[in-house]
Amino acid sequence: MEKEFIILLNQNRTILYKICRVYCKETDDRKDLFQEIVFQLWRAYPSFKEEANISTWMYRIGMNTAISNFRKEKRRQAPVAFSTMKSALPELADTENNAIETTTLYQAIDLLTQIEKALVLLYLEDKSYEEMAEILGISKSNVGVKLSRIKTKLEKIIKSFTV
Amino acid sequence: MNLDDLKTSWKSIDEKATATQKLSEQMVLSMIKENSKSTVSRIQNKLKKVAFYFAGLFVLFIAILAGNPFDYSNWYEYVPAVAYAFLIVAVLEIVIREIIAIGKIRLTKSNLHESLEKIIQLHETYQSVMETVWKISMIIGFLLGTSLLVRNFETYGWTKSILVIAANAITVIVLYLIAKIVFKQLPDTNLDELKMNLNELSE
Repeated sequence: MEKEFIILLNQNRTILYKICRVYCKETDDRKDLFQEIVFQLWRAYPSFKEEANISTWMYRIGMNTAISNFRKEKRRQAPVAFSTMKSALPELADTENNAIETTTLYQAIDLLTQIEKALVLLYLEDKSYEEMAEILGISKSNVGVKLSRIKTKLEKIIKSFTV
Repeated sequence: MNLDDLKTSWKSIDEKATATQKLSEQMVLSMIKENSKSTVSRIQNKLKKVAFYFAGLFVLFIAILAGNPFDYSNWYEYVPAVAYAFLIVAVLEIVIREIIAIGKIRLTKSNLHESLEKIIQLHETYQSVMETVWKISMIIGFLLGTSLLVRNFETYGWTKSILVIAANAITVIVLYLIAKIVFKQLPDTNLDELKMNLNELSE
């Protein structure tokens, strides 16, 4: 089961990286969140077979963890071996290495609320309203209304950057 | 620059993420072991500490009842200590039930809305348990003080005895009020934030 889980995780690791990047500004926080999501995915893995779509499952657990289950705490003193392992996690999308568009996108997303971030992330991933509703636990019409409001907000933020 | 441009740049992030190194088996297993950070685990750990503290207190009161270190000579002097022991057992039962109930919750099966509701409920239950524990501790303090003074009541006479009990009660109430004011200055921002998120999602 462990090997199957790791293969699945590797095939879909980009989902986790993106969630962590959207919800955490600091690299260390991002790594902590990544680790916490992996643990939550592992806990939920035995019931995964009931789910139809792997990405919906990963987004649901990742976002649940990022919004409701992960809070910054005083960082514990990690053992040396673990610290080494943490540094092996990829430094995904650090702003200095990115194109202006990407940097602008991240800066704009940073100004959104936790829930708005979740919706924008799913929108950028081209998820259907149905999938978004399933992941977030709200109605499809509610997704539509919120998304339209968020798009307007995001566009205003981006305009304010370019002026 | 519009949202469509940003969507294109988002795809480039996707490519970059795909190009990152794969997670090794050892790395993933280490992550799974580092599991004590979740809110649910933190609440469970706090409750375990509360249970441990009250178990210690229970042993202490049993020792007081058995060894009579305060030289109680009348049966009614034992009443507060017996009452404490019962209160501690009640608190222990509440806390242990709570730990078991929390352990059964699987947030990973819920959507975000359900998840937020469950986490908020957990936080609120935990806070209400702690408030009860806090109030019980205050009453325990008052009763303990009174039980130690009872033997002197005959010498004090009615007026002085009542004044001593009143002073003891006022001290406890003042301490309680100070603590309440201090705790009000330190609100649970996590809980407020979670409630805000749930409201935003439900709007």
